[in-house]
Amino acid sequence: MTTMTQRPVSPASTPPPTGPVQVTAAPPEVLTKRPAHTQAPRPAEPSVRTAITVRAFNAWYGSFQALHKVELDVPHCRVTSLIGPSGCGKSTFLRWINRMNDLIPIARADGTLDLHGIDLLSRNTDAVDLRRRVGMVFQKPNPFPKSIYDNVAFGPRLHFRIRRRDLEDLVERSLRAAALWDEVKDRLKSSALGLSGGQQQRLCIARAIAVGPEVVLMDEPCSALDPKSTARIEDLIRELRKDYTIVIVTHNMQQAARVSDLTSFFFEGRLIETGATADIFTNPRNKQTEDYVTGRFG
Amino acid sequence: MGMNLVTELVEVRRSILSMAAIVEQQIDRAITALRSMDIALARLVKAGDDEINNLEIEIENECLRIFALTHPVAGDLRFMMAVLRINSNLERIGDKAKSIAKRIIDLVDCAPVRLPPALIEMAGKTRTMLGDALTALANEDADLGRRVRVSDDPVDALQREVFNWGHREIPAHVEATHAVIDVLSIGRALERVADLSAAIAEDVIFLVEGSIVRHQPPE
Repeated sequence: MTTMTQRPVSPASTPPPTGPVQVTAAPPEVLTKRPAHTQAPRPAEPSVRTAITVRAFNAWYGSFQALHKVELDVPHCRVTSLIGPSGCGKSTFLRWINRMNDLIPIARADGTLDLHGIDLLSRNTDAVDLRRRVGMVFQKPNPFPKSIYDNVAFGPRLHFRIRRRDLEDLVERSLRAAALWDEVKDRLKSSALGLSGGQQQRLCIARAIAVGPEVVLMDEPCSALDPKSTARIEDLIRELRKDYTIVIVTHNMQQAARVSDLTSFFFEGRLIETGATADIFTNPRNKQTEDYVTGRFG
Repeated sequence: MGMNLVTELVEVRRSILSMAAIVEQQIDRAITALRSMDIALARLVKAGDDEINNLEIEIENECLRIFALTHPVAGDLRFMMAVLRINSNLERIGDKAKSIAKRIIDLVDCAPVRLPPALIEMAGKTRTMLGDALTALANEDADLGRRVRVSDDPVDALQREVFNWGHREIPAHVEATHAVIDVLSIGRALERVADLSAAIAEDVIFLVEGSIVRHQPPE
C-alpha cells in the first residue's frame, strides 16, 4: 500500500521495541512535543471574590531570591493548592501569608500581599492578630502537651474574653467542624498526645479554626498520615471550604486533584501557571506544568 | 508502581498504530475488491476481521492496566482517552470492511448491475479520509484532523446520489433489486467509514489541543 509507507504506521516501519532505559534516555518526540495549546486562558471562576491578592511579590532569604514576581488571586472560600518540586518556593509563599517568616531575620519580601484589604507585609500589621485571621496546619501534627479541650480552647482564651459556657460551645463546634467530636467527646480532659496521628491532625485543624480565621493554610497536612486518615482530612478540607479560604501545599498531586478548586504550579521560585484544577490536570497550558504533573520531572 | 508510564505510553501508541495499519489495509482491500469484483480478495477481508477484534480487546486491556496503575494526567490522560475511543472506532471500521466484503461476495451471485460512478468516487474519498485521519493520528496533527472533518460532507452528498440511483434502478430493473440493495448497503458502509474517520480526526484534535469539537460544525 503506497500510503502506508509514508508514515510510521505499518508494523514494518515501526522502530524495534525499545527497553525502558532507551526510552527514558531519548523519549520519542511525539510524547514530548505535544502541547502547543492555542486556547485562550480560562479564568477559574470569575464570579468568586478574591481573599488574598498577590502582585509582583518577591521574597528573599538573605541574598537568595526565593520567589520572583508572583501574581495570584486566591479565591474566597475555595481550596487553592500549591504544587511544585522541593525548593520551588511554595512553602516560602505559604509562610509569608501568615508571617511565619518574621521569625527568620534574613527573610524579607516586597510587592503586594493583601488579605481582604489588610497589607500582610506592613510592619503595622499585628502578626498575632494576623495569625488569628490566618490559621496554619503543619506537616506533622503538633498538638500542645495539654488536654484535647485545652488545645482547642488555647487560641480563643488568648484572643477573646469569653465565658466558660461559650468557650465550651466553641470547643464543641470546632471539634465537630473538624469531624473529631464524636471520637473525643467522652475524653476531652485526656492528653491530646494520646490521640492517633490522624486524630491529632484533625485536632490541630479544630485548634486552627476555633479562633474564627478567614484563611486556613495547610503545609502538606497529610504527608505523615495513613491513607484512611488522609481520606478523612481530605473530606474535612472539602467540608471546611464552605466557610474558609484554604491554601494547601502538597507533594501529592492526586491529593491536589482531589481536594482543590484551583491549582498553582511553582518552579524555581516562579509561579508558572494557575488554573482550575480540572484544567491543570487535563490540559495545562504550560509545558513545564505538563511535564511536572505527568511525572516527567520533579 | 511496577510500570514506567512513558514506556507504557510508547507501547500503547505502537499498538494503536499497528491496529490502524491493519484496519487501513482491510478498507484498502475491500475497495480494491469492489472495483474489480475480486471475490478472493473479498474473502480475505472477511477472514481478516477476527484479528482486528482481538487487537481491540488487547488494547483495551492495556489501557485499563495503565489507568489502574499509573493514573495518567494532562497530555497523557488525553492520549489515553483518545486511544480508547480510536480503538473502538477502528474496530467499527474493521466491521464495515467486513460487511462491504460480504456484499461483494453476495453481488457475484446476483443479476449483474453496473456500479454507479458515485459509489466508486465515494470509495476513493472515504479511503483518503481514513488515510488522512490515521496520518493525523500518527503525526498528532490537529490541522490535518480539521481538514478531515471538512471532507465528510462531500461523502454524504455522494451517498445521497447512490440512494437516488437505487430509487431509479429498482423500478427499471426489478430483477436486479437484490444487487441494488447490496450496492446501497456498500454505500451506507462507506459513509459510516467516513463518519468514523472524522470521529478519529476529532479525537486527534482533542489529544493535541484538549478541546472537544464533536457535535460542532467543522471550521
